[in-house]
Amino acid sequence: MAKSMHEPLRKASGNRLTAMMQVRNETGRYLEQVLEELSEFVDDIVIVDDGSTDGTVRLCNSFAKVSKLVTLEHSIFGREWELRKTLWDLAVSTGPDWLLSVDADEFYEDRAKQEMRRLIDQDAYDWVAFRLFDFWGGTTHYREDEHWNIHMKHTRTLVRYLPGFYYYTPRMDHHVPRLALSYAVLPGFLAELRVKHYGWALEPEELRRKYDRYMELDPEGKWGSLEQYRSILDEHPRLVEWRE
Amino acid sequence: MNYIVLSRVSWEDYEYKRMLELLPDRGEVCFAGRMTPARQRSSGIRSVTLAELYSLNAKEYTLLVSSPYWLPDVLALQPAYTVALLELCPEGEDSVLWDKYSALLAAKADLAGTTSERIYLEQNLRRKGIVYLSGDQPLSYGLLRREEQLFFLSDYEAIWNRALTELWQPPVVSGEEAGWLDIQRRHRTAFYISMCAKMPLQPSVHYLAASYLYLRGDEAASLYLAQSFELMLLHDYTDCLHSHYRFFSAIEAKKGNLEHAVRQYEITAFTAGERAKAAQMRQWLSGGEAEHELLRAEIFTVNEDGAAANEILSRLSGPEARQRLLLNYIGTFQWEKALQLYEEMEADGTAAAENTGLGGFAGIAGIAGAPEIPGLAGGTAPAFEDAVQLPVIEGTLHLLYGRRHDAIRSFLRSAGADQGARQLFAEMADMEEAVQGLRGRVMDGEEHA
Amino acid sequence: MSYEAMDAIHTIETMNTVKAVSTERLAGRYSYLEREGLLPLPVQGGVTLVVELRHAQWSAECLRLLLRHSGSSVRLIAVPMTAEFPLQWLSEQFSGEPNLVFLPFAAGNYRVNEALAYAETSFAVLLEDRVMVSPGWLGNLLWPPIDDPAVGVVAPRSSSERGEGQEQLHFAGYSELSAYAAHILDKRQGEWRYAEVLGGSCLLIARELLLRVGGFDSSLAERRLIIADWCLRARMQGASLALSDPVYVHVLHPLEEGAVINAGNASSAAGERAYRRKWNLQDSPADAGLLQIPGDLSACLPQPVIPLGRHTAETPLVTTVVYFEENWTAADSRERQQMLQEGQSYSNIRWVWVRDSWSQSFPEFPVHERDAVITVHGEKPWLHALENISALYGSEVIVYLSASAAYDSRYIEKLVEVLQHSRADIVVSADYAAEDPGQRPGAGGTTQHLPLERIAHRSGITPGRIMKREGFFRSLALIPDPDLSVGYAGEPAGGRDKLHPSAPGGEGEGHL
Repeated sequence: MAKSMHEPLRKASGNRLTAMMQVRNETGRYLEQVLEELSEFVDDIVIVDDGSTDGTVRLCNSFAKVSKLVTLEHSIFGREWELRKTLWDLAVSTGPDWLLSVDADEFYEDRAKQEMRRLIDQDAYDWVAFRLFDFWGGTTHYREDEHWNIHMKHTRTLVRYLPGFYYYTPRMDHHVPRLALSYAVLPGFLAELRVKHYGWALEPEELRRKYDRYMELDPEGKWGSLEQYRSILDEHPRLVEWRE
Repeated sequence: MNYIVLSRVSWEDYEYKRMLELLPDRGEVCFAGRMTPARQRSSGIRSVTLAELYSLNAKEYTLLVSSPYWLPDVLALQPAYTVALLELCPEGEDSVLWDKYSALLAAKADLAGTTSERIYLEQNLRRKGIVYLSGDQPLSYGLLRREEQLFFLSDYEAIWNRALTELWQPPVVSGEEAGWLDIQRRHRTAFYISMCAKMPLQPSVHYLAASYLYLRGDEAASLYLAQSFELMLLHDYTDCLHSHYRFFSAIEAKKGNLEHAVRQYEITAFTAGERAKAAQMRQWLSGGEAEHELLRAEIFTVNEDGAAANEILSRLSGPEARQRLLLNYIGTFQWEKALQLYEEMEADGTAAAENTGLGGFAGIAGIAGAPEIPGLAGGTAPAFEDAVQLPVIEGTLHLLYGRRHDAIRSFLRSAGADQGARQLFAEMADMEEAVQGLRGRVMDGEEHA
Repeated sequence: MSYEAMDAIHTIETMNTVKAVSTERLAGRYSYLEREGLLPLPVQGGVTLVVELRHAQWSAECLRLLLRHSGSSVRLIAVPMTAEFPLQWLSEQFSGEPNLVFLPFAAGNYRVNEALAYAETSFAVLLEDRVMVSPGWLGNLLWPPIDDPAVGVVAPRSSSERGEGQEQLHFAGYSELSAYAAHILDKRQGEWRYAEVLGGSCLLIARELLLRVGGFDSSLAERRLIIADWCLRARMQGASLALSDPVYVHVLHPLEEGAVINAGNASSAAGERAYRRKWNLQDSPADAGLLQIPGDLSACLPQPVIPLGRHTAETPLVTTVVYFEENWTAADSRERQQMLQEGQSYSNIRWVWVRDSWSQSFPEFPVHERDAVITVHGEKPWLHALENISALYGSEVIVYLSASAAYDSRYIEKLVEVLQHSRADIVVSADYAAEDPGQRPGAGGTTQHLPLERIAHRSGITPGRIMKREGFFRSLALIPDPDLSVGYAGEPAGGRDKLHPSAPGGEGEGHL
């Protein structure tokens, strides 16, 4: 274990915040902006590049807070469990206090960024979950309907690293949770703070391409719901305007 | 050996009739309660009244007790051996009262048996002599001839007979390895491991396999616990930090990995009390041999393995060890031992209130039930006993021994003024009522056609 | 169809129905006799039951049930398997029992083999003292060999049998057991099946098969391996194994059972290795629990025979091979055989008579239990059999005798003594009186021809080639294998035996 056994397991102050992220061919998308914003409120950024063939790696290296970057020669996106594990192991090797799992298209709202320190400098709970919003078709509205309602519940993205804890992630090829299920048994905090997910903030043709890719990877709906995949192509999804 | 049967119900409803047929070294068998002459003849058992019971020379008898409310009589009779048949609280009985006095009976008994696996596991963590009176093996493990009849014994019947016989004929070589306790644990382990193979997605059977492996000191316990934990997570039964996760610390302690053991406990420590314990463990960890032993005992204690903890503590000298042993005796309902230890500690000055925290109202986290066997609804955190103070213990024992006045005096002495005293007297009344009710039901019970 | 034809068919059908009814009736009558216990055992002369005593707490009941439910014509031999077994205490409980014999414990011997050697009945049953039987068990075990004479081994269903014969049950008491056993007997009446191997606590064996296969190999340590090994050897002798489905016997299990196996007992591990080596089996951990047997028995090497009966270190078993070189009349050969057998002072001899049926008249004479008669057709196989005796009969020493030669009464005894004290593989005893000058050894350099009738050799070797030499007084000669060492045993004047060992294929002097 990298973290010393002699340090207290839970610190109520002086906690370092490390962001961890997996990237793949992100040029032209939101990565640069994400890294900029992250650099404002985290202490470290750890990245695994899943076989990018564009300038993603160069982009990552241009940020000072990116302290560890591992590039995989070949993409292992089809073995998501392995990818997640590689990222986790990398992050843990830096001896972190708290880990923030971020996607290359996720933005924490200002309030969340401000609260971050307070959230982690305590010893009462070991994880924080936020409300994630799936923006749709653009960066002004999020989608809210039968298949798209992730903001109705909380998503755990911020965890305290506990050396020696039994970390368990089920071995799946897709839709693998980004953080070990084990955290569910520990006390956590459900924050009314929001995270903007721009992964679906795309033009219709790009949405269609995404749909095609899902159907190619998971034609029988083994890892996800076929109905949800199909709803990607909805002509008139129900959208709600975002208010800061 | 002669036997006296102290039943919870009338002869017609008595649940252990076959056991009576198979009793080893079967001399005279008396049943306290009504039996028709025909039944007495056919069973070879003599029916006795309460008065007749007291006229027997109890030193020549082994008592088979299946209700805790016989405890006052057990203590009065002073038999050669006391054997407790422990049961879950029956319908219509007050469960708090029943559980408490069952635990006291169990602690008093020389040997206990139960048909409830939950009680079996619980008792395994409190004492040595416990037999599970049920089993899954479709084979015969022994035979017994009584006059014209030849009986075949199931695995637990053979074990039970061996356990009984060893009361008056202790084995020459007393090692745990070949002892009947280990044999039965082995059978249970094998059963649950095979169940895990048949039901790979069931968390409970994995947890039970882990429990038995732990009892046997087998390192495979952690594998099965891990599997159980994973399955709990997959099924979304997330309320298992104390019921499942904490168990890792006990397994690590048994393996001798104290640092890992402490770390696993720390992960589960959130309340003020738990954090204090964790801090104390850290401190002991950096100490020497003696501190490490205290640490191990403490890990077992927080995991409700009183038997393992007490085994260590009773070997240690020093006030800290004895204080903890005292607490554990109280928690495992070995109250006579607790009082005796307290007297010793008073004699050499280690029993001062500030040391034990018992003079005041300090909540004593006693050792209550073993980890619940989680059903599909998920495990529940074990309940901690309310503060049990020495005068209350004293009083309860006085009451059980029939020393009513002394009991009342002790209860009055116990701090808590009116509220507390009233509760104690209420319980006293309940207990006495239960004893009377039992006697009435069994001794003067209606005969069934 | 014509009326006649229809009539004929009708008559046949009626006859068939009548036949079916009468078959049914016969079956019903048979079942009645069986249920009422009115049937004797389907075998002449009774059956011998050999009981292995290990479990003092169960032996008495086992013996009692055997005595009660096996019929009156059984004899029991009880064999203690450990020194700690309380034999006296047990035998006192059966002191009045005429049909029950207890063998005392003797360390170092596998007494089962000895007990089986005592059995003179045409069938023997080997069982453990944890077997509880019920009425009708024995009679029904005897049917498979009667239905098919190739069947030489039968086992009942029980919890100690493996594979298809295993039946795991618990009964509250004896009455439940006998009710179940009776029910099964009735329901599965007449059924039985062939088995590839058996290994349980109860085994019926045909005596003639026992004599052919020999005893049980106790070096395999674990009982089920010992039994299985024997069964495989029996199959190699051409016998079939059967599992009797109607017969269930109740086998008790010691509580410690699982523990001993888990502890990885050193000797049982060694036994497993020996078993695998013997049958050329790969060590496959996946098969733990199941009994491994070779897939193709015909590909296995012949197994050395383990002798039945008493086997002590002081008087090792000697296989004495007698061959008849000339044509003897029936009366003369019988007389000669008797003289040879009774003439020798040595006590532990297995006699093997090798005859060539084509050229020798060979009267039938009574042969003792462990002795054997080998009959071949033609001179070549006759010589070949003589060369390979040691492969067929395992014993410490092999001695060749010619029916035409003279031997003093201590001949075999002295040869055995010589072999025990020498390192030679082959020993020749020289009898000067009958010496043929041409046969004197020491010719040096040329191939030796040793007189076969003066040869003895150790176990485990094939001595060499045996030839017939025309024109010599003694017609059979051994050309010893050049790798073997040959010693000469002689008796100088004064009567002391001396051995002069020689280099392989070399020379030496001395006479016996």
